[in-house]
Amino acid sequence: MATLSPQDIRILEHTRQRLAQLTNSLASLQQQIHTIEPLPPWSSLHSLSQIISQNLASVSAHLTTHGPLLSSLVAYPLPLYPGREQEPVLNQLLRKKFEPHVEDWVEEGRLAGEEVVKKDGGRGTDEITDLWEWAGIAANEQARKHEWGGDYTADEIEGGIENVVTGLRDDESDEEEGEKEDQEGAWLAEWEGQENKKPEEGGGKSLSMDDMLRFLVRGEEPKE
Amino acid sequence: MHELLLFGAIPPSRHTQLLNILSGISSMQPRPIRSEKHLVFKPNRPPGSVGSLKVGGAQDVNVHKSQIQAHALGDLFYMQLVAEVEEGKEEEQWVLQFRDLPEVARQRGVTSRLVADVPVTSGDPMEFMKALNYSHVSTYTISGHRFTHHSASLVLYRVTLPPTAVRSDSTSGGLPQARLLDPSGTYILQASVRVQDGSKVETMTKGVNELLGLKETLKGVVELEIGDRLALDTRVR
Repeated sequence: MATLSPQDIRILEHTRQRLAQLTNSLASLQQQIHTIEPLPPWSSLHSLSQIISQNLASVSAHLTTHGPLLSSLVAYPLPLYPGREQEPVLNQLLRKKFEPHVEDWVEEGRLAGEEVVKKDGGRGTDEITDLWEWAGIAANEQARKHEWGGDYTADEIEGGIENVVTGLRDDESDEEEGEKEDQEGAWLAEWEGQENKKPEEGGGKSLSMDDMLRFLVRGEEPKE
Repeated sequence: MHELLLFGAIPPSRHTQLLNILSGISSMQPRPIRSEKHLVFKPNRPPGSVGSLKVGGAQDVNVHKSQIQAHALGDLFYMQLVAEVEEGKEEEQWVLQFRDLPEVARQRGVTSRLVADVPVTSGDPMEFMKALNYSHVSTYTISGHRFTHHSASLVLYRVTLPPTAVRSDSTSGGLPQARLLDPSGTYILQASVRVQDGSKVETMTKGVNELLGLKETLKGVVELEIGDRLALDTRVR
């Protein structure tokens, strides 16, 4: 393999630093648990676990970003390396397979990950249905406790809200207000009126867009 | 003038909702199109164009003939007379509309076609069409609403066919009634941008991008699609 560029070495150095931070924080958690009786206060446990999860996330992000480089690297001892004195370290460095207990961790993690994906973001379908059934009613209950307002500006209220042009109206308010109908409502009402006069409303099967376009440009009625 | 187009279909149940949405997007009240009448005209083949070239006894006379015809006449196109008609209003402003066969879309993603609208300023449009050797083939009416959003025009409409004649030999029926082209009452949403000079790549791209932007905005509300080129074919076949 080609010699490493300074940038590659920097990446390796970063990896080392992040791993060192992670082991440090893990070690300090371990140490606290061992030394403080009966157990360290929950607040310090919480902050430690937060630090660890941050470290883990940064290691994982770093490994993912530089995955192509890191997976293409090979470790080998230089002739000057004191192989006899440092044999255990050398063995560990040159080992390509995971240690058996590490393999177990990987398997556990993979299974946990699969379960998360399967369960739709960690929640089962039933759970989500329950949540939504509850949420609709709960949100409504909360909304009822508030007094809603502010539909009109102060100017509009002064000028009388009947004259405010609000745009479209729904059918019900058209019926209720009947006579008060302003001009804006009028066209819609008229439109709806036309609608009702039209026969075959809503019945029959629909034409394809192509058939309609064909008629629009050439006036050929689609064949039944 | 070039016209860039996208089409979408909306079931009648969603009509009011769509009016609201379009009103919000374009920040304007819908402009009603109460009744826009379209008269479709088809050119009559020049009499004698078929068969008049039978000179000599060439065996491939038919092939020869159609080739000459194509060269001499080019394609013939449908045209329309369009006007907004209102009850009790005598003067109608008719416009003669020409629509070319849409260009091959390639990567553009929108329908693009050459259009020409010529206002009829005086005279009888029907007589004029007759003099052009065009004959009337059908009539329909468009009603709906128009919105303008930046340079794009959005028209939500549906097509009504003229009432069919009341059958005198039948007890069923009654008053003649207009009917919808699409029995289920589907509305068409037509989004268009017009470009003065279709040969200017820059302005065309701008127009296309605006239309595609609109398509993106309306994503999930109504799917705007390119119109089928052959369905929009205005050539006489």
